[in-house]
Amino acid sequence: MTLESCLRRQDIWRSRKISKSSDAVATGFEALDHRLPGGGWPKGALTEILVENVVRSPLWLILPMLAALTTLRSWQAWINPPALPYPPGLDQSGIDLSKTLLIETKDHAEILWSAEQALRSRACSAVICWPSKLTQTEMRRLQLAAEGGDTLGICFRNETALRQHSMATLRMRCYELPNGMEIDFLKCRGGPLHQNISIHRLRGNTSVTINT
Amino acid sequence: MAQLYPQKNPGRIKARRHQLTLAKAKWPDALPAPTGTQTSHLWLALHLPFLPLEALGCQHKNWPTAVYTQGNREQQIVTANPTAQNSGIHTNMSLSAARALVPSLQAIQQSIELEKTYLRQLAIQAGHWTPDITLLEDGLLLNIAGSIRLFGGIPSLVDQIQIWIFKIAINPCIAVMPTAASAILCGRSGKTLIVNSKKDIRPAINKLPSTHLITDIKGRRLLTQIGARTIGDLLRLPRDGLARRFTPHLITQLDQLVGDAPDPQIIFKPALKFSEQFALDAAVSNMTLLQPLAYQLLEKLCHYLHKKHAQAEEMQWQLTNDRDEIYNIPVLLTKPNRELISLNELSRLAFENTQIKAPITAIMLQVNRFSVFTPSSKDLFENRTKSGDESNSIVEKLRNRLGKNAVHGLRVRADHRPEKAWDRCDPGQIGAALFGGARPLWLLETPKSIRVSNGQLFFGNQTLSIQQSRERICSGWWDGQTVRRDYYFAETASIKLWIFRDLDSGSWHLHGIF
Repeated sequence: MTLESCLRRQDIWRSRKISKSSDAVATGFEALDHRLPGGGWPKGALTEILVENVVRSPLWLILPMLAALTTLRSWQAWINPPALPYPPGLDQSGIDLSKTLLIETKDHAEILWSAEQALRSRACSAVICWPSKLTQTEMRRLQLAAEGGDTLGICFRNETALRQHSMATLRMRCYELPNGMEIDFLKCRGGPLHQNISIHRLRGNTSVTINT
Repeated sequence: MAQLYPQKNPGRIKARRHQLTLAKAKWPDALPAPTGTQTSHLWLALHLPFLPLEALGCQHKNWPTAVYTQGNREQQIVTANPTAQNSGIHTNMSLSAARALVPSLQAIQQSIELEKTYLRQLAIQAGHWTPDITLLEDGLLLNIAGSIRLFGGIPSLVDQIQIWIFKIAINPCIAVMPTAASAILCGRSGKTLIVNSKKDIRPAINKLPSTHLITDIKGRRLLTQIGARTIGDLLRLPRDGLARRFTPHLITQLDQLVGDAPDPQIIFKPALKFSEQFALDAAVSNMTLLQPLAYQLLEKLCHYLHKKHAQAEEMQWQLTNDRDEIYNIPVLLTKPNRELISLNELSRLAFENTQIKAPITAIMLQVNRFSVFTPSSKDLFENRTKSGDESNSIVEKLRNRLGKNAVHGLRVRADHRPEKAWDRCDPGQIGAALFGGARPLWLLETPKSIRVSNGQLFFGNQTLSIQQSRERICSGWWDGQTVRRDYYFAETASIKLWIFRDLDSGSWHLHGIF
């Protein structure tokens, strides 16, 4: 194995070097795009979003990305959402419902299995899952599946997972703000950490302030 | 039926004589072989003289055996095996006479049903050489024109068929002719021959007795009266006279013999059915050990599908355990399939999803619905498989492992009631057009009641501030699930909610989160 081939691996993280790879999908929020290496959600990788309460997972944060990816592949998989992602609401946000795949599983093993299959299949443009718990090995498996299938994976988790080590490419914690969200980057390959940004969610557009 | 020549009206006779000369001109001695028909039709008639015996499974060659049928007055011998024939028993002899001749004769009543079943089985086997098979009363008719090149020429093909049929039948007769009628005729006359050009039909059938064509007693008597002993004699006779003396149908029959009249055949199409099973010597309690056996059954299935040019549409496994309980494991296919690898993968996933209580003793694979295989053309330079295949295969995979009810699509339904404005559907379906105001991204399937205290609404510990805009939804009186609500947008310090006030009870509920 040469050094180049080693460096080309997705799971090798070279700090300081902000990769400007095109393998990213614009988030739809200017501040977030600006802040993320590559200028958007990393494609072919797993992104972990920690929230206070998974039932209130900020779908609005990922909807512009889902709408942008719609035409890319056949499906967008939603695996075990904690409540019903409401079809009329999704439709109003520009999601193509005919590409939505709602997967409701019985147990944790099935979540992992279906998430891995969906990520690896190259039939899904994005996979959003809500695993209850996730060990380091399981996380790594999903990350590798996302790389293998070149699929954008989003994993919403409760912030109790904060102390756990993560294998995801991007890991962020969200705090709810009035009409928006403050984002703390816990892990961000190729970008600076812990420089919180806040995103405002307004009707149709977003305004952004950066705190350091 | 033979019609007698009318004697009374001489005028009509004259007119008929005129027609007669015309008819003569129509039957030249050497017909020019029409091009095209020669290559698309070559008929192989397989005549089984001992079919009634064979269908009943009478294989004792050394014991005089005969099959009889119940005639009007007495029981008549239909077929006797060679041993019985050597003792003097022949067809149409009465059973009592035969018994008198050979007291040890084993006589069995004919079963037309069994003969048909037997012929159907033979036809399925003969499907190896051609799909164009017609069932006759006493044999099979195969159109082998399309198979000649594949099986290395006519002689080689006929050889193969001969080897096969001689193993299972007594003295079968194979005749290959360019027309179906002549092939059947030669077969029934016991004339083994191969004729592949139309101009050779006449020499081949000229010498055959005309009684093969005319079977009724009156007609046969007439044949001897006019001295037409062979088919050749009949062909030489004027057509309209023949039609008058015998039946007009005879002319058609003669035309069909030489290929001047169309002679469509009813092609035998066996119903597609696949059901194979293995009984296990030792009971297996581990599902993974069943995999190699399942693979073998799937191999058989795929072989069958390839042969039948079909695809499986509905497939299921049946496992039987040692308590004789049966597990049905359907394999869910989103589209017809016949690929061994993917069927095996889907079966494996379906097995993984099954819990067995006791060791398995038998495994069976059934396919109940088939569809015609239409091959899709693939791009020569395209390496990736088509995304359509992938997208179907992931849904298939997920459904087989998680169950059919675990994987759905979502769609909008035309209903004003928020909880009914959507439903789960098969993935990929398109729903109704949207209407109404802004809708939340999360919906609580059962609305959660909101605490009201001192005129303030509380979500947890946070107070809710309500926006003034209101959407009134009153609907559903027709199905007994009436909804009369006022919907509002409400906000806590951090989140935006969708709440409603029930107009009947006045209580507040949380229904969605933006």
